[in-house]
Amino acid sequence: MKWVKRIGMAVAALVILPALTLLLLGLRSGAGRVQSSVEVQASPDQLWTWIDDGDHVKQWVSWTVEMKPWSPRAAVGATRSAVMRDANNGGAQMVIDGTCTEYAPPRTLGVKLSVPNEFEGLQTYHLTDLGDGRTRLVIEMSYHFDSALARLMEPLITPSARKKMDGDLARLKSLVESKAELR
Amino acid sequence: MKTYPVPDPPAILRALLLACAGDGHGELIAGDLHEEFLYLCEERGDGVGRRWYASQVVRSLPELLRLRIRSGDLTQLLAVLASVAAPLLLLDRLWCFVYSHIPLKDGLDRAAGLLAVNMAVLCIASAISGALARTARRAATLSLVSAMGVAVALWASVGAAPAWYIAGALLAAPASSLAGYKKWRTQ
Amino acid sequence: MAKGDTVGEFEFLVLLAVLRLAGDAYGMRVRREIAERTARDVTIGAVYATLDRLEEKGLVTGKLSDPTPERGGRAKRSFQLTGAGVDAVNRARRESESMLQGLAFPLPGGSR
Repeated sequence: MKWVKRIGMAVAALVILPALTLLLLGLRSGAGRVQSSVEVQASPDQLWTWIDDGDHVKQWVSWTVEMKPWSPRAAVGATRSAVMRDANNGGAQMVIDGTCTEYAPPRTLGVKLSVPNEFEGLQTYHLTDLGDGRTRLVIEMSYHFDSALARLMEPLITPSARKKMDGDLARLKSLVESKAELR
Repeated sequence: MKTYPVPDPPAILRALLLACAGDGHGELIAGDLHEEFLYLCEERGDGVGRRWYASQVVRSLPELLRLRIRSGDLTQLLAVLASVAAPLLLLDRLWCFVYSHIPLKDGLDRAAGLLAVNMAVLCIASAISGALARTARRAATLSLVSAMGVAVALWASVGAAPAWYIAGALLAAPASSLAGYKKWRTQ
Repeated sequence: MAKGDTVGEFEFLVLLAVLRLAGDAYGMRVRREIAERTARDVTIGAVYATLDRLEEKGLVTGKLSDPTPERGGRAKRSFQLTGAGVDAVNRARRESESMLQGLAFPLPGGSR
């Protein structure tokens, strides 16, 4: 009986305490928000292609299988979808629908993202000309999950999403600057 | 008068017998076989004694394993293996869920913090299992089974496991099991 | 009579061996007794499995002795029949005799 109680207490501590901690962390002010930035040796016009054109986006956003072009044409209200491979779900492909909320080349692009029954989010790209042929790209993303378990896990998801975004931007910088060298 | 050294039964076969028969019956059977082995070596020579010993051990294995299952001994080992592997597999599924919900998806690499949680859980599960041992030999067996539980979980996990994590987990499980035995062993 | 009250053929031999060895009936001696009297090549595993079953049925009890050098410093467990064990042997013998009554041995038509 003593051991049943000890094991029961250990299990409760391992489940209840972390759940309470995650609940409290989920109330922080930056919950569900990710921001990352990179400075690239390229003009805003050159960099704009890499965030607007689907074939370019596929090269630096990891796990993107396909990115369809804007429909009917690139402007506020246009739609496009991205197909992404989910390695954590047995390699299943997920379609993320995007609707353009801001379109002001080569400075600002805003896209509302959604996957039914999974999440909704808003992703905005801000390009700032730093002069001397350099541009700062800032990506901001905010999202909300439909499932209660995903909302509970948000404090674990957000840091990983930021890390992923940092990795994608590093890849973007490397691609843009190496292709600029070739020209 | 010339004295001859007392022969020892073949060590590998004796170890096999003790491993299959378990702590309870293993020592008694090993003692019986040892007695008869010495008698046969003296009467008919070392070769006959060793062949007889090997024949008895090998032919007895199925009965001894059945006996061990009936006594619940093997069940306890399976329970220890499951109690180490199951939490790790559940955590792996949880981390898959977390990473699957990253809005623009991500791969199978896990943050060091999440692997540290896995490590803590496997140490706790192994320590609890080790505390169930009543003898040092049983503790050694349970520590090996804990390591096997970790190996099963690593093999079945979806998430990527860096080399430091694999090595650390395979060492931490038996170490925690033995530490649990030393600290909390049941009397 | 409940199903657990009957003994199988090998269980009967083990009970008889324990009875014959009177107080010094441990695994190896039981094995040797059966092997010498029946010319069967019996394994020590089979003997221990049977003794374990008989103990579960309440037909024998075991007692642990001190370790001895001839056993590599290991203890031995000696068995003896319980009252229920004696009843089981008596019953098995009666049943056997009843079935054998009227038959002439050796039976004709066998290979040996």
